[in-house]
Amino acid sequence: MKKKWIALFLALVMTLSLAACGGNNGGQQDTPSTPAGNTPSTPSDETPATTPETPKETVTLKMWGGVQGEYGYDALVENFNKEFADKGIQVEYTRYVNNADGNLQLDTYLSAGSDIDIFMCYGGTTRYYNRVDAGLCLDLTDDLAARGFDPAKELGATNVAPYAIDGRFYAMPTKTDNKAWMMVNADMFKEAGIELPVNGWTYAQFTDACQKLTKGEGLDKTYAVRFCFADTKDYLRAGMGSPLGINSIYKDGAAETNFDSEVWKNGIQLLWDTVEAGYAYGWDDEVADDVSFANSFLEGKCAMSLGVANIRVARDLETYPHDFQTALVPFPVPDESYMDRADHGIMSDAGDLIVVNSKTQYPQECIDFIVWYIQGGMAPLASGGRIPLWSGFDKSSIVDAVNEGTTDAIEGGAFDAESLKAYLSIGTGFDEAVLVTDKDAEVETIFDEELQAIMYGQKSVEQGLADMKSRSDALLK
Amino acid sequence: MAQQHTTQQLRASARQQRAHPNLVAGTFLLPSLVGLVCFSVIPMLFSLFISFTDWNFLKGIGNWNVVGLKNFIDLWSDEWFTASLVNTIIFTVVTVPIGLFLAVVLAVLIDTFCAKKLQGLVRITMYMPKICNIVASSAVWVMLYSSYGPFTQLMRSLGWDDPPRFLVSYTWALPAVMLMCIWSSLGYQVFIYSASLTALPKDLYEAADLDGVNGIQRFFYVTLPQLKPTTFFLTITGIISSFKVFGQINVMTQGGPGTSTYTLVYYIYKQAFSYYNMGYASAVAMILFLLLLCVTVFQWKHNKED
Repeated sequence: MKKKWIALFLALVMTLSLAACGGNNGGQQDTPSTPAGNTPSTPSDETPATTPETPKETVTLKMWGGVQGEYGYDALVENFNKEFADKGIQVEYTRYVNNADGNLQLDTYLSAGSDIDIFMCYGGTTRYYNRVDAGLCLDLTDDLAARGFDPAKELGATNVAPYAIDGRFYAMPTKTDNKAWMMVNADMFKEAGIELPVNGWTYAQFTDACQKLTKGEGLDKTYAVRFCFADTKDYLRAGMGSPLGINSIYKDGAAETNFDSEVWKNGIQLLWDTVEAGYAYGWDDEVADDVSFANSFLEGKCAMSLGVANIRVARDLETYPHDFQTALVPFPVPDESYMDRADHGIMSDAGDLIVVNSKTQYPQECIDFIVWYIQGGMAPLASGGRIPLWSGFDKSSIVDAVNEGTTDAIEGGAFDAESLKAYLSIGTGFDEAVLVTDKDAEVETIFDEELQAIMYGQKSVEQGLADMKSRSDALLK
Repeated sequence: MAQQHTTQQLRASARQQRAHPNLVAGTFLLPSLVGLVCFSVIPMLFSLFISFTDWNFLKGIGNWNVVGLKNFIDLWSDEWFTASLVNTIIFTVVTVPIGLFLAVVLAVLIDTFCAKKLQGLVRITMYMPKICNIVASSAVWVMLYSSYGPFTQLMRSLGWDDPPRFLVSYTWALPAVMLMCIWSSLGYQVFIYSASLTALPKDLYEAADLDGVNGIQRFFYVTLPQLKPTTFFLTITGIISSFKVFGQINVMTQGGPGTSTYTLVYYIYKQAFSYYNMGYASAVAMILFLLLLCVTVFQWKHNKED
């Protein structure tokens, strides 16, 4: 009998333990949760922060972004917290990894009603539309207007146009870049006697340069170019499609795709020929050997690489020590007839969307922050290549900011100043309206799959492009 | 009256005696039962329900439209699903028999030729891959397969000028992953076979020796038939684990190149957590569930017959 009571007692203890485990919230909060997880200075007071009768509490906004703090966000947060200390608004920055897993984590937190107030949304319109559709993004339109912030005037009408949904803005683009530009090793170009083509070049000139820049064999081989096959194909799409204009993918009001154009055929043929000649890493090389910007370009194993987003990495000599200067040059165009658009100005893109979580308890404070962020607050990010989109930003300061702290190790700084100035002087915006469909993500996936089949030799360039077009057009119908 | 009272007392006592063991057993089972219901039964029923909807994870619970059998119909015209199904079947059909054959041969070799004191050490060494983290061991195999890794270098040194790029080849990627999976489960299978071998009756072997059988005949006509229950158990568990292969694929190939290493579980993961198509992913999961159910029912019937 006694044994039975002991057994019952043990079972009860186990049950209670399980129940206790079930209630564990991961040790994040031992006290009752504050509204949206924010941490007002008096946690016991549940009165909303904006109630005028009570003394204003300090509100700490939680911001999530995809860039490491040391690449500008730490300084940005410090500046904001100093400036807004007396206004009772502070901000905390958390970095998430901007890949499929990182975005899944962010989406899960947002859907679960977590304490994120502001987040950066990357990946163009696709993720943005999905998140707006899911009700995760706050409508900023009226609150921005109330602060006298006119998106079209401050950021450029064509830059913000793709982000208006039924005339309402749920996010603001903050930076501009041009994915059709490449990073090149200026020292290798000089050594090979090739002038930096900052004003543009043709496919033929590019191939000649590749021939001169490719050296060695096996482990000692220096490739001319890394096309970034194993990473996003946005760079290739921008570079190859630029001659077709901003709507390089679609035509006829997005009723069908442009993949039957000679421009795409010539572009993909260039990739194939360059890889076949051994001037570039193949798709399989990049995947099998995990070829990245850091372990190829920055280690002097290739002379050119797509991926302007790596400016912040190329200037980080502490983490990625190297002694050569990097320059920025445009992706080549098919032939002389396209030289008038060789700077790819039409591909200048507005991105890095700043979004307020629709479930935030502090919408007004969040909008104060994003207006501050856009209107110069994001300046510390410029040194890492995130060029502010705001029309009032002085771009002339960026060259010095990018090269700051690198001139001791590399003569003239980590980046060639002239090419950087050329990159910064290209247009920000375009005249034609961007065609957007709800099938953008699927069309991009089809592009990637067919390009992979071509580059693996599973299909000819013609067959791959024909399949790319037929599959994409079927989706658009 | 007193006698009637005593009878009632006895009956009540008997009832109590019967109830107590049930109560104790139930109390012990309760925590596991709660866990099973909360973390298995309810999610399975929920998954079954959403397989008939178009639910997108981002839209939150309740924001779905019931689409009937649409997801199940669409599956058969989806080349990624059919490729995943075919790859999963190939994976199972190849890895299970080869793995079992290697395991039984190794177990017999260890049992026959290895010194008694060393047998335990050999088995434990072989068992190590099973307890290694899948991500870690997959990452090591990625390095082994890389262009400058030992496998490729070995082939070059053997005179193969242009050996395949195993993990990025449409032809070689799936066999490369299968080889890794056979390696990782081999130790476990050898361990189970070794345990069974030690329990086999010795008189059968003595009788076989008297009949003058050689080593190979002894293996095929005495050992293998005696190991039938173990082989059956390992076949069933092998099929189930092959159908669920995910970690190795995720680390080594991410399903590529093309669809060459997509498996059902990896496709479920991609649909659910990359594209957020929970309804569609659940429909694929239901197909997987049905396949595994068939295997389990077969095992159950076989056990019953035995």
